[in-house]
Amino acid sequence: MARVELRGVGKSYDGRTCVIQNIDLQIEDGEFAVFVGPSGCGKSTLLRMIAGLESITEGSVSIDGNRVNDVLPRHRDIAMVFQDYALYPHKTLYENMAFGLRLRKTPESEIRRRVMDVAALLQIDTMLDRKPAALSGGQRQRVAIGRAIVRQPKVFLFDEPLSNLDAQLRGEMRSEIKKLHQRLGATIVYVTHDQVEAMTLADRICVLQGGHKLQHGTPAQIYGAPATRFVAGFIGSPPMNLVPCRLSDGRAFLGSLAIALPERLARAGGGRDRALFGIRPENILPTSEDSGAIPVPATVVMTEPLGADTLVTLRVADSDVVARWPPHFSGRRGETVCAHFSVSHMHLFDAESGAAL
Amino acid sequence: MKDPSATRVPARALTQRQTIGAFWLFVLPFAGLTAVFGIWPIILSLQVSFTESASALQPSAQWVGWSNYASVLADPIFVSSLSRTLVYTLLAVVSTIVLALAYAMLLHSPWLGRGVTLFKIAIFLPVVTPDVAGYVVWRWLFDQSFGAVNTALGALSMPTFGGLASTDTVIWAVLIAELWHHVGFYVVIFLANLALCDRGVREAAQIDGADAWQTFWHVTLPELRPALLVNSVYALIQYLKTFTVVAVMTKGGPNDSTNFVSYYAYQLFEQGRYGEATAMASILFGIVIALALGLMMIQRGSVSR
Repeated sequence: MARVELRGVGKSYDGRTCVIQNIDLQIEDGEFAVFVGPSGCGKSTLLRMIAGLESITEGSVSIDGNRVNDVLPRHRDIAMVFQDYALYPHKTLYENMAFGLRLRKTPESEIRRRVMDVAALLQIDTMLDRKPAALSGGQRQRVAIGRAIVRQPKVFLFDEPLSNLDAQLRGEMRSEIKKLHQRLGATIVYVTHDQVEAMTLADRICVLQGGHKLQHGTPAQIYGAPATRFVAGFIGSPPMNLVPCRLSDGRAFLGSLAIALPERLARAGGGRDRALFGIRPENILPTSEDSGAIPVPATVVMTEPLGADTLVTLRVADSDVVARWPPHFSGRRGETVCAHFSVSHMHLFDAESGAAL
Repeated sequence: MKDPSATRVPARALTQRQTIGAFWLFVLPFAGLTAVFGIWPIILSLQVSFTESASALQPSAQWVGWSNYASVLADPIFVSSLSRTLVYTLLAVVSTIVLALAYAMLLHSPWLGRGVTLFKIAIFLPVVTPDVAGYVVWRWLFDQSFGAVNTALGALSMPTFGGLASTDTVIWAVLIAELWHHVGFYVVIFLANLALCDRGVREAAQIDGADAWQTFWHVTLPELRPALLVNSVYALIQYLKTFTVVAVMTKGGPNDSTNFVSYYAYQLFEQGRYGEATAMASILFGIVIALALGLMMIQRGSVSR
């Protein structure tokens, strides 16, 4: 397994269009790193730069301490699982998985042993004589993963491998990939636009937007302490409530409603008269069970029962916020309720730059 | 405002009879043209091949059975012409496919950059050039006295090229002219197939450890099977029937070294030996069909494996 380092990595086309800007990142040996962000943020481009499928305009990429900017993909000792599987259509599943080993002149007996072991692990050992066209999407994805595993590379690269699967299969494969990582202990770099995949799979997440790295941290850090309003809104479902506010005397004014800020935020917001107030749905409580929670009058706009929870859209001052409340909540539209904002879970973001204060 | 649903007429599916009628309405004009200008001449030609040459074009043509075919098969000139045609076809088909594939790979690669348009024009312009005009120019280029080919070779202090004057080199000269004229068409077929190839599969091969040649051999070439099949069959048919280049450049010479079957049949027509000429054409037709079908079966068999 290996460490991957990106130092000041950037990419531009024709010297003008910049798609990746100055990214510094370290992925530790055996870490499951996830690049997440909206479409067009550069996460796949960054992954392909690590793979050697895209050139690097600035900075350097190192694998296991060796600079690989000018090293061909086949010499980087990496394996990649593509979004559309990229299986060889004219080869059987066995040949798909054996191809890379044959190119490296691995003995036939060793090829057979590895392919059969991995096929059994992925439960595709009964279909090795079939061709990809005869398989379902989930089976093809297993073959693509198997093709990567048999190579025993230093780094595994996954480029949105579950995007083409239906929701149920996606959930199943997500668990399979997590188990594989626990079993193999491999260094994995995984790209996805799905923040649920990112949160459930990653040891650390790198959030990208517009070619920039916004934040790099554990799922708990990304979720609990988002560095920008974009990260706050992108990670979490439903996303964090973000409401424009005025700041004065250690309080945030949502319209005419004044909310006393905790000391850390009052200090951070000092000198500003405007900001964005943030609070996650699960931190807007229906009762005063949290002694530090601030009661806030609100009007029920809409309720969305999910079974395990109910999403309640509340009108607070002049803004709508979403709260995640217990399933037994049965408030009617227009009903006045008392919501409680958890003080320890409030956030402030700069009104202009969106940076967390 | 008038309720639009009041004037709405429910859609009515075509009956099966109407569907079949519509099918024949569209197909008949083109089927008719194919029958009149394609199939009917073949049938007539076959009919003439069983008649005596002197009366072949008259209403009361004399039936002679297989004697024209026997005469053709016993003709030593035909036998040598046929073997010459087959050898030339093999050479031409392989050259065409290899050159067209190489050129298509070059056009498909990023190496040419913005110059790719120029290269596309260069290879396809000869295809749309009238073949007779092109072959006349090639005849001039290969001329031993004033041809540009030998002038250029001389300037480079290289030995002269016998061109159309030598039995050793005439086949190559004819082949060069044919490749110039035809390769562009086959490049287009290969390019269309290459455009359908999945780039991700090639990238997967690179990551698996394949170099450029291995990627081409193990990944790209198998994906090009449809284009290879189409081009091989088309080239086979085209070169087996080689006529125009011989008629313009060599007239079958020197010493019958380019006297292919199509041109020999044409010579027999000019001599009024219609029965034998059509018998020869029918034999060639049969060979073309058999080889083309055989090639298709071999290629499809390898695909299914």
